Amino acid sequence: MQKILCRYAAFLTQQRWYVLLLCILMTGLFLTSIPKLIVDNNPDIWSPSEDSFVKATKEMESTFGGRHFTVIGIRAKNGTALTSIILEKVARIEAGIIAMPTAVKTNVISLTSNKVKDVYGNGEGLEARQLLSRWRATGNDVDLKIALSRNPIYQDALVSKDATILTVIADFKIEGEYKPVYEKLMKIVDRERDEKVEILMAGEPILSARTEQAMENLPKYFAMAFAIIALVQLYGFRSVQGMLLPLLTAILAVIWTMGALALAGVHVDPLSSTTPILIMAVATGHSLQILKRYYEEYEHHAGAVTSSNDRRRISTQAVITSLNKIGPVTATAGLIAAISFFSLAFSDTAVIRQFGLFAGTGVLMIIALEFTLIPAVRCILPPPKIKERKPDVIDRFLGQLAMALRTRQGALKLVSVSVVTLLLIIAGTINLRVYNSFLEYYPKGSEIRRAVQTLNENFGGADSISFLIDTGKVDGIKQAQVLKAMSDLQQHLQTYPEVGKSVSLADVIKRIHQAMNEERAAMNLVPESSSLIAQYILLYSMSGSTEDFASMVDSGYKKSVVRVFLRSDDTAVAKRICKESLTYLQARLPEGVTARVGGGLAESVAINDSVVRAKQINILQMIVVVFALSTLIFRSFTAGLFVAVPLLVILVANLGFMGWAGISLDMGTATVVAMVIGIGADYEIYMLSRLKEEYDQSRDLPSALARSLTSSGKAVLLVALSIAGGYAALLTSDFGFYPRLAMTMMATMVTSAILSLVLLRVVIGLIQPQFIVGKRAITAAAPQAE
Amino acid sequence: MSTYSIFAGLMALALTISIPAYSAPSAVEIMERSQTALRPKGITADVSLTVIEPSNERRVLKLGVWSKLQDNAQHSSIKTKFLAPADLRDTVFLQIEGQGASDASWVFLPALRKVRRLPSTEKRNAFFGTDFNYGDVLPPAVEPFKHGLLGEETIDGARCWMVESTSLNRKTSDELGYHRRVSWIDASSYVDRKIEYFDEKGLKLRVQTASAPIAVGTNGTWVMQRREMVQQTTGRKTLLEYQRVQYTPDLSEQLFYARSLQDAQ
Repeated sequence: MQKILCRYAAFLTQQRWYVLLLCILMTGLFLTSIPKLIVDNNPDIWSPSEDSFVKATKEMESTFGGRHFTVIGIRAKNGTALTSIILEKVARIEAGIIAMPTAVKTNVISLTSNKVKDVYGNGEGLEARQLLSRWRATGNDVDLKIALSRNPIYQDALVSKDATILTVIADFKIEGEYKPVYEKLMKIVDRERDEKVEILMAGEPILSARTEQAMENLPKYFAMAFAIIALVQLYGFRSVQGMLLPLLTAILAVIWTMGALALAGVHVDPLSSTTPILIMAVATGHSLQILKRYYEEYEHHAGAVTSSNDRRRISTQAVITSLNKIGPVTATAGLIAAISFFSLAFSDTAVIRQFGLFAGTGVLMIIALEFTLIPAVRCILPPPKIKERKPDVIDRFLGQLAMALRTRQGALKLVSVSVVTLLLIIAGTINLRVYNSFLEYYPKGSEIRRAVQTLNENFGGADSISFLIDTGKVDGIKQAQVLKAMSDLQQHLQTYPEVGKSVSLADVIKRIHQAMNEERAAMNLVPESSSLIAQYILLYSMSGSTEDFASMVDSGYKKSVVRVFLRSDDTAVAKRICKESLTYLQARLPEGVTARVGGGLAESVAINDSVVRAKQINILQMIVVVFALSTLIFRSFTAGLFVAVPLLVILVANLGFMGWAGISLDMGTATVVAMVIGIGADYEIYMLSRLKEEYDQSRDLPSALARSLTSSGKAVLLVALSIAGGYAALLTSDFGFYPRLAMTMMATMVTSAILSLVLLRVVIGLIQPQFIVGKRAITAAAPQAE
Repeated sequence: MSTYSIFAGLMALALTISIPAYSAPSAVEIMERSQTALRPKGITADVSLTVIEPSNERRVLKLGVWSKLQDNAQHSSIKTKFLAPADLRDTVFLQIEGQGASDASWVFLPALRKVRRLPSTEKRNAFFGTDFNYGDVLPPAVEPFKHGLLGEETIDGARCWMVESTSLNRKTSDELGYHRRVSWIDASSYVDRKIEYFDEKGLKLRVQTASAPIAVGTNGTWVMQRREMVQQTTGRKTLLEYQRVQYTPDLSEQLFYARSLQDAQ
């Protein structure tokens, strides 16, 4: 293996110009492919496709739409919103939305819609007229009040209780980007803004469009991260070359990854959009380890050499030696990270699969560059000048740390402090909330949160779940027992304080029954005769239109939905409501009729469950991969444990930090855990490899520990600083997803560094594992008591 | 006057005389004659309405129909009784055209055992939940539209005139649920063979095709025994088929009295 690598390194240095040319051509190809990358913000990619809630949601969407509900609230700044001026605004907004090609026309509704009917009984029969028609004819406000009071289905849905806010509820077919829909919607709405009204917008398409806007700022954060990493490199190497080469690796790795994935037709989503920073950080880490080793080799041999030719020769030899010595470690660490990232490809959640693909490909590209372009460029560049280097803060800190670790007392002190710190961090897991809320990604006082809060306070709620009832036969929904079960379900749902409103076909049937029975309040119930129900629907169709029910029942009356609006997007609450109410409904439905739950909030429950359940599996799977590969590479189970156990500690500490910081474990932050495993393993692998190499040379464990700490330990610290610094750029974003990601990643870097620099070394010193010291235990190498 | 001038004059005169024998009637005339052609003096028939979903799922309504031309020879009275499905059996619907601003309608609901007057049946609404609208049951009035002859085409081997009818006002469009229609009218029988319906933006909403004409009576009136209406946006369609069509010019007036609906059982 060493021989092959030696020959390869020599060949590479000879053919450096060809390698450079090939890499330039590859970069050109990938660079031109990047614009083909497609942004995909479809909520489907966040959902576990096999979950029953998700499946029900998709089925409901295909029959009834309702997936991308948007609520536009028109609030009167003074007094009632039930004025002709404001109603005209509502009508214009509705007409504008209906004219949009992406609108699901049957699900666009407001008080001015033709399908919004005042259903009432007259002496001879049933009338179902447009709700505003009588008021428009007479101009008498009392007529409108009467129409609204006898049709409570519209209250808390299209008009607030105090009548100060009217809503237009819309639904869209969105495939891919939300921005075009959002921009068109804003144009329609902005025309109606004036001193009389305030317009509030809520709903999943609005949140998603804002998410896309936040994603557009990523190049800015990427540039900031780039600058921060550059400064860390400059500080670490005190050399422009030392700064530029890791950055060149980083930037090219990002270009190659993005280009390759664009060519493969992979889409970018909010999560994978952050992987350029991850790739940049990991690339910098590997490059830094190799470069640090190159400098060590070069400085060791070129110290007294003055001839520039000799220096070039020594530089080339240093490239070959460093690649030979650290190459296998880089390849091993890279492969472990890539395989663990690629193992996410088995996730049933698209966003996780895409992230795994992005990150795994990124790591492979980094390895490819580290083994081709970087050594070639290093040979082309003039050899660095040998400068007398004074120890910097990091060197001094690591020197002191090494000194402290040499003694048992010092080691125990450090271990105690580290363990206590870690335990304190881990204690935060008690506060950890497993919770998924897109809304929480926006600042508390933000326009979007205020809009949702206002709409929640005045209406049934901006979040929804839906129950899908499937009778399996044409006209099955007209059965009295089915409609009665739906009505009972709605009554049951009212017992939950979080439920603001529910709507179903049963409401309409009850209303018609009451109207046909002299408006007697006691007759506001589902009739017991299925024939009567069928005849009521026929009767309604003669005055109203059966299309009025298109959002509640399919055209064959086989399936129907009960839509439930909630004033809370707490997934734990929603899950309880979904489960309890589904059991309640199923017990009341006749045999052969099935019921399922879906809808926006139910899908969030599914996402949340996926965080808790599927992520555990993903994480376990990645740790097993890391353990197996490390065991294989070091040919030792103990070595496998030395790499894998710290990852578990980092993981738990990560959760603890999130608990203290009030960051919920959601889809984004949970994925940081996957990143941690990918990056965290690198630290241990580099450290253990260098330690083994130092020990093989000196056969003295304490000095090997100290030397590895000041050499690869410094690289680890620089990598940790680079990654934390790079991610710190995201702290400036006002889209909460990114600062959360940044904070968890920074905390992870701190934990990883403590583990790698302190705890792992002390444990190695104490137990003197065979894979480092060989079969002959050297007890004298253990830290000594003062 | 030269021989040539006399010949040319005679030719012009001959052509002028021969034009009426070969030219099409005006668009308005075609639509008026189509109205008459589809209004027999009286018929009884069984009708089945099959709603076919894009998934090929079917829902069948079976009706008994009585239709009588009123004395004014312009309007009809139609009584429809449900034979199937079971939950609608014996429901009876009565529509009297030309009663004031809108048609008058009554319904008998057997489950309630009551006859109810319907305030107004909007013609744009789906006819018993099918893809036909109430306004499609009988040919719409000629006057609220501007008619134009677009040309000629052959459908099912029959030479047809293509007539474009555009509503003259918003009210008509709102009432019927379309702004413009193009009708293919059979040049020999004046029955419609095909109708396409469009909204104000020119979007095609529905397409109706009619076939299997059967002459009823002796005054050139017809019944199209098979009609199909296809929704262009959803792909859903409804097949309307007449069976056992009988010419019954002497149907009793009493059959069409609202109070008689309950007795229709």
